[in-house]
Amino acid sequence: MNRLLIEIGTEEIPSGYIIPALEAFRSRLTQRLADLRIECGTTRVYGTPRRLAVVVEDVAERQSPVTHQLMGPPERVAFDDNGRPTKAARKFAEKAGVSVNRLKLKETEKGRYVCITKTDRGRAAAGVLREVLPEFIGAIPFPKTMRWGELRTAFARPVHSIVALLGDRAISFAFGDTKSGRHTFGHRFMRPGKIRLAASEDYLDALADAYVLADMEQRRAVMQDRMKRAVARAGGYILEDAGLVETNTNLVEYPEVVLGSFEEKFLELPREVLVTAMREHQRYFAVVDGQNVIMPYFIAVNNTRARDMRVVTAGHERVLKARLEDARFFYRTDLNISPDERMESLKSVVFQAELGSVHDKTLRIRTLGERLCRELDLGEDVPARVDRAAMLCKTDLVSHVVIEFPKLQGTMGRIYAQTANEPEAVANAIEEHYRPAYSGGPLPAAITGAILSIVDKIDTICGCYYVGLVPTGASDPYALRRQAIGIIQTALDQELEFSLAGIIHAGMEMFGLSGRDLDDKADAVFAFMQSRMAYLLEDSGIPRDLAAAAISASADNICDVRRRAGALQRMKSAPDFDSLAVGFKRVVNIIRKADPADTTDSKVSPDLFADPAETALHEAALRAREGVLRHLKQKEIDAAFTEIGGLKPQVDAFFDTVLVMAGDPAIRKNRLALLKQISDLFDRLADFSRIST
Amino acid sequence: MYVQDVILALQRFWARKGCVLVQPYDMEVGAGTFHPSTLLRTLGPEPWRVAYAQPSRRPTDGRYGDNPYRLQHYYQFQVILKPSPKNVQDQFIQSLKALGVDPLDHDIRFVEDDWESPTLGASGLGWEVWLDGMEITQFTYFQMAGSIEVHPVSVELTYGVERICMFLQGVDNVFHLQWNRELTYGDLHHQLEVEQSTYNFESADIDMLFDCFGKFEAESKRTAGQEMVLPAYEYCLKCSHVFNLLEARGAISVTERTGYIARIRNLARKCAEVYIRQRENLGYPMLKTGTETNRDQNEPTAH
Repeated sequence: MNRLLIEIGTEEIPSGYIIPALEAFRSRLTQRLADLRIECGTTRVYGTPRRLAVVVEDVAERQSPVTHQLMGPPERVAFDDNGRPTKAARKFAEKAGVSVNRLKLKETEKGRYVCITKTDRGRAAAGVLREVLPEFIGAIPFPKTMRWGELRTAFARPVHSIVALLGDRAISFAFGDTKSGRHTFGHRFMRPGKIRLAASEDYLDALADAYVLADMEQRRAVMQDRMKRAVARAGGYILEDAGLVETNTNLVEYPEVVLGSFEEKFLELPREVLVTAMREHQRYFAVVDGQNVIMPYFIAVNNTRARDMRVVTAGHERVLKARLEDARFFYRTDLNISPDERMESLKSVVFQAELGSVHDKTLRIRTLGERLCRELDLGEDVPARVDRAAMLCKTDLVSHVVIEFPKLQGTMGRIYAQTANEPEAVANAIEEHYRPAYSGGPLPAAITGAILSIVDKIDTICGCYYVGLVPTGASDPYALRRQAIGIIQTALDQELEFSLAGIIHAGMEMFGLSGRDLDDKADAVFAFMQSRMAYLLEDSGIPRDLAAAAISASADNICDVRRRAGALQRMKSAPDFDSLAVGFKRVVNIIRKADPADTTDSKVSPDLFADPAETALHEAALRAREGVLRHLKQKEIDAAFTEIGGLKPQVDAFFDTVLVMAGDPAIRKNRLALLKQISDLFDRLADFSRIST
Repeated sequence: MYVQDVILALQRFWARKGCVLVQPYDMEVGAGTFHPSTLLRTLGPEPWRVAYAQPSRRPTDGRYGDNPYRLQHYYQFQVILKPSPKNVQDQFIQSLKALGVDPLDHDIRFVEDDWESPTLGASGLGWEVWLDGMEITQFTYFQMAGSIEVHPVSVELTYGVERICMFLQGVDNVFHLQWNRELTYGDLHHQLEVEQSTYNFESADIDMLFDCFGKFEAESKRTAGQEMVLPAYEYCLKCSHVFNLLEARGAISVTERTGYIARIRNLARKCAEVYIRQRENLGYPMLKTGTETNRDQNEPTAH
């Protein structure tokens, strides 16, 4: 049992590539070893910008032996009357690679057959590995690969060395023009040159001696510890940023941390601008005091312990100063222009080639916002704020700071609105209307931002459907799925009960559609929204069939769908749910399958009842209807379901004694009318035909 | 180190590494990549090593000479090594040593940067090289040029001359750089920044430029049609510069922008196609004898 080490030494791989590549490397290697019948223990991965490594413990010396039986012809075909092997038997033995006298007979269901038991004793693991590893290394997945020199090989960056050691033995193969062996290399500057590894066990220690911390967790811990010590000298704290920690961990082999400072005059810049200027271009960490206020310091992570780190620090400070000078210039220039003036410039910013400018979009959002406010009956203040925020919400796109730092869209809009003394609700809505900015991100916190967020997204989705930019499979360039989910989550979070079909219709009208075209496109968007609702409901733990049942009944009011789906799920856990559902499905299916002429506009006439079960069901249905409507009005969905569940005995009795499809057309029509009445009642809550029983 | 000494040192260094020192292209270009010594020579199988200091123009970056870091006219020191040598990172670091930068005195890092020139249809993977946090060089393995996939792969090193000099001289304002003992960068270039910024942003005749763009484009197509690569390519470069001026004047909307870029890219692609055909017809004169057979078998040649 030996430890297997494979290390691919490269030029600097992008930091974001490293962890996904290592995970794929590890899982595929484990799978491949299993397929190759090479037993092994646990695996670990190591990586820096210049090396990707995987270590597998307890790798078997040889492939596990395997025996398998080859079945040949039946006995009567394989041997002649004298018990001598026939031509068929000899052919089979030859094909299987054994002499004919090793053939055995095996009893099967179909009689006795010739068979051979073969044992594959397995080959030495090293020999197998050298054959599969080159192809394996070439298959490590990266977001982008490149070629170099005159080679045809592709990898994330040029490959310079490969270590392949099984215990103390090197496994030799070639990848591109690189031959594998037992040599790795140290830190680019602090310990350049080859390092010979006597055995795979020496890997981490040998690298640590050469200023390379290959273990990512250890490197991160060392880096964070050094960051903590550095920031203490400023009397502050690191502004938490998990993503930046990961990026920096994988930008260095040996984290050397410095604390730098900048002039206090730059503190006039909004916090978000300072943090972004440090983070995006320079990967520096911001520093805050005990009150979480930005201090004029930063933390930079380096890869080399220079002779005098003060020289390096001064370099970082000079670079950051230039960045902040630029940012301050942009910010001050922006402040000289009012948000209203900026609105004019939106005319020259294209939203989408066929959908006009961002200015056009702004006008559409205002109309839709006003409509939604009216429908929701939000009084006077909110609509006025929504309208103002709609006018201003895209203006920061033409500000210098956002052009320089696109991530600050919305945030700068809020800041510029605040500076221009817009009401706080308007300023916040400008920032919040982009939410959720990523899956699971925060939602608009207040009503103004929520309304604006919904109509902005409705406009984008309708617009994209209007011009045919519909998400398909993995392709969703305008992130319509995320936007649809944002609409649903925001409506639920703020309990906004509006007609989804209504706002979609209005959204499509904005593009000058009417009649059949309008209906078709609006239906497509509505169906898309339904699919997102189903996804979200399932994601929240509601079984797929129940989600479908709730949506299929009606998807117009998002909050209502959520309530009905929830009630349905609670009802489903009741012990007699399945038998209840079976009866109800029967009702629904009979109506669906019946001649539409028999079920439309038909009234129930009690004089045509021929069976007491009909009368009983009719009376129960009338009572239930009254109760259901009352409960729905109060949004007591569980009670409404209970009311419907109460119909079960009468429904069962009805089906037990009554033949719906009676010969007499009048009686048949009357019975269908009765069932239709009940199914209409169900339809307000759920489509029972969708529930699997 | 004076600005002119930095250029001299880089020239000397790369000449020793076997680069031919050519002179900068005598036309307005946006970057060293536009020089035919890069865009055209990186195409096809012939080996090539070249270095030159290319004055480059980005009209929209002008700041009337008021900003200590931004210029609409600046210098790129450009190196092309084709095929990319295995030890090219080490060679690059040696070149920094030639400028007096000791890697043990600083933090030198290769930070991911995928480079792309949409107008030239050129792209590659590589890094921006950081020196104590400052980007001093763009380091790119070309994968495409003139919208054509390249083989062998060239490596392009683009040194930002002003940035390196500001670092070496410890100066916070580009105009305060000493060009030589007597003259500053400002003495030589400040008036250029003021005048050209005014021209680029305020005065350039938009109608005349649009007119020129159309005529240059037609001329590029016409000459490419007659298999005259270099004239066709020069008119492609002229289109690119005229486009940059129009953009600085704010005369091209965001929608139109993509369209104009695509038109220039088409010209560059045409030139690239004709160039490749021309070299093939000439029998690749710069291929060393004996390597052709190897190449035919798609086997790497030793280097």
